[in-house]
Amino acid sequence: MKIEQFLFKALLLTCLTWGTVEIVFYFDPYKKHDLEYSYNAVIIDKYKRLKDTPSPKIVLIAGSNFAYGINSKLIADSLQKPVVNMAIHYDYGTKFMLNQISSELHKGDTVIMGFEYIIECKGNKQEQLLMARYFPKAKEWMKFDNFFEEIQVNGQLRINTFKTVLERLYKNTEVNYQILDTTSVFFRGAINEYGDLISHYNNPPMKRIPRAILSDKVSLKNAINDMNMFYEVMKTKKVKVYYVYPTYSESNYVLDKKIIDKFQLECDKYAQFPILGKPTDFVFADSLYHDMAYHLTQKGGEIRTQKIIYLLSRKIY
Amino acid sequence: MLFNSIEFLLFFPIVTIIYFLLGHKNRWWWLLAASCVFYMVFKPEYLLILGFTIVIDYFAGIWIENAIGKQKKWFLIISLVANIGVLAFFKYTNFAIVALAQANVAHFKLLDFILPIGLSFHTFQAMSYTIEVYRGNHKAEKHFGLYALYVMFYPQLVAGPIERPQNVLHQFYEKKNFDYLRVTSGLKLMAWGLFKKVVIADRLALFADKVYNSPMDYEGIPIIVATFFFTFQIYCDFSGYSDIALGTAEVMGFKLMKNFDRPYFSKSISEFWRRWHISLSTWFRDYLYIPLGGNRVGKPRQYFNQFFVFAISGFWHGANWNFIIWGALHGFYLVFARITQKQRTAFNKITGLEKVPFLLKTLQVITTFSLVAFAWIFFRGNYLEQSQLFHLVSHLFSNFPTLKEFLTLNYFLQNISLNFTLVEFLIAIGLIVFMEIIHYIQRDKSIRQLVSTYPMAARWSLYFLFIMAFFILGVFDKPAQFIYFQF
Repeated sequence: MKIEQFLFKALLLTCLTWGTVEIVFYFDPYKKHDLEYSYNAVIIDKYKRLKDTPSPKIVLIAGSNFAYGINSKLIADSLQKPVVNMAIHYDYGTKFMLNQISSELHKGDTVIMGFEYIIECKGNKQEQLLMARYFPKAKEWMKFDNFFEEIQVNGQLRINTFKTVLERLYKNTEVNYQILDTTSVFFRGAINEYGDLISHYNNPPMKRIPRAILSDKVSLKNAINDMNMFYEVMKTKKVKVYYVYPTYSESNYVLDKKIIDKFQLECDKYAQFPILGKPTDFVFADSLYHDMAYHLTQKGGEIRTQKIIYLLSRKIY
Repeated sequence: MLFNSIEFLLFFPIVTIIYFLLGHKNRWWWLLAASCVFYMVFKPEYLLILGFTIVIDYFAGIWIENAIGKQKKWFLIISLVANIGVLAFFKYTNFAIVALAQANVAHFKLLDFILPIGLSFHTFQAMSYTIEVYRGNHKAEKHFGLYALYVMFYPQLVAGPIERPQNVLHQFYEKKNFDYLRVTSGLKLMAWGLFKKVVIADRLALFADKVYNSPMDYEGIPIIVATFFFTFQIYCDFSGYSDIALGTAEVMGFKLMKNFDRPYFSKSISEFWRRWHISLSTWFRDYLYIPLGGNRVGKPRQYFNQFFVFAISGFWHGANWNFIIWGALHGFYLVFARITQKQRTAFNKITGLEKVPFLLKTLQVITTFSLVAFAWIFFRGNYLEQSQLFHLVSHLFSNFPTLKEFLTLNYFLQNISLNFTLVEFLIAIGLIVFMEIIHYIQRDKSIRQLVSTYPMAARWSLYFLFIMAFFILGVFDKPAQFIYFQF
């Protein structure tokens, strides 16, 4: 057989196999359902609130430690400004999350960042692309390192979607999440009008908060750099920017104190933005946590929010 | 460039198509350029290190061949010192600095650089060239480009197989035409290698990492399960890489040496090392063990040499005491087996085991597998602190459940399935069984050749299902580097 004939056959096989994956990706029978229920789609509602809320406003940005552990109404009532809680999931990375809010910030606004100790700069591109599947504007917040990464991430998303569709077809179950049930946590409708996650309020918390994964080999420098750049841009727009340390359960803090101290030193050394309080200000008893070291219960969220209000008030007044 | 990356997915067809379109005379420089690009994706500056050793060894080969008497040895020493010197500097300097500091002998600042990828492999391959020229087993290569290609040939550049000049150099002179059967055979081998890596190895890594990333949290059965999975993970990872390397070369018409031969079917440690990382174990046999005296010296010296060679082999894998312990453990196994050969034969006779060959072989395979798996604890735990490694080893058989506890679903999910679902656990086991069935079939027939005899509809259905299985079962979320790339 000649090389041209072989190449044609190879191309045909590639089209048959990858074509199957692409067809499933584009004609995903669960896409409509996921648009309504997927947690990644919560950005649609949060971003609408961000866009519709007039300045001056307070915007919260972080991963799920802010989504779980903030009572935005308390902040709004105390500081007499509307609050938008844009926090969703740490895995999007600082670059992406800060890009999310940048264009909707105007003079007089206040941003409170609260990124977790496991935050990364670039984030999980697949998660970002999944968000973009429901909210195309999210593509503007993404930046690929190079062409190969873009192909890889898009390929991975298609393969994962293919696998998920087959699994769901096989299991033939459709779960509809509700705030009032006692199990659901992460879904699109899980938030209140401010963007706070409230679906876990009814759910029984875990008896024992699991051990968090915190590596001493990781550095927050890149994330701090992103926050510095964001701070500089916001300064020109006359937007105030603050950072508060993420909440962390007491049992985990005892074990990870050395690493957290190291992170605090990095913040003190490299951060150009103002930091409100210390890590220990947001360490609480395990009984105030829901299912992991960063996720507060409703009561825990209120206590934590009061602390933020106190620290912010001292800064402002 | 990783074999399981998008870059390679684009690199390979482009390089191969142009390779076949070029005339034979031009193919060497195209492959050399492609190999440079392949290597430079990691860290471009390190091409200079490769270039340095290539120049030294190219001239050393010619000088050795032209030299008379003791001069030959001196030129060989220049080559070996250059290669070992580069290897020692980049790989072992920090180890030496830490060791000296711990012994309170001297205190130096640690060097801050990344180990050049594939350094251990291509320096050994380069040394095999000058040694073979010195021994008169191969003529010095006069064509600089072809010699450079021998060292840098991209399919085996970063993780072997560690080739010999007699096997490879002459192939660069031979004209290779496009041959449909050979090309599809090579592609099938590549696909199988990728399957072993992405579907099996990376999946088993999820189980092994659970325990080895938090060793102090586990005792007993979970450590055994994680080690069992790692035993197959490392095999699939490394042999998968080797299959991709061999398949890539085969597509272009080159035949590289087999690096694995169903090692977990070995009935003894010495057989294991004739089947595992064959290119490395034969390198150490031919260039270290035999020059030290091999089997020609007295028993005590023999045993010492075997132990020493394996300890060095461990050290080759990494500048770390845990790797040395791993290598030395294998050396100990080998020596112990040789010392107790008579007693074990007598035991088999007394117990009647030798009359039941199937049972005897099964016991031998299980024993060898267990010994190898135990040694892998040190290999996998190479970055662990000594206290963590000690915890793993000392708690291997502790906290065993009662039979009643063991037979509960809860115990199974927590301690055997390591908190993965039953389905995920069964998939992992199923993949191991599937792979070993393939190995068993391949004892006496080539599956690739078998498949090529099927009618087209059956073949294409098989290809389609294989690729779909690859997509469905592959672990793509956390693409892991090949384990042996770190060496």
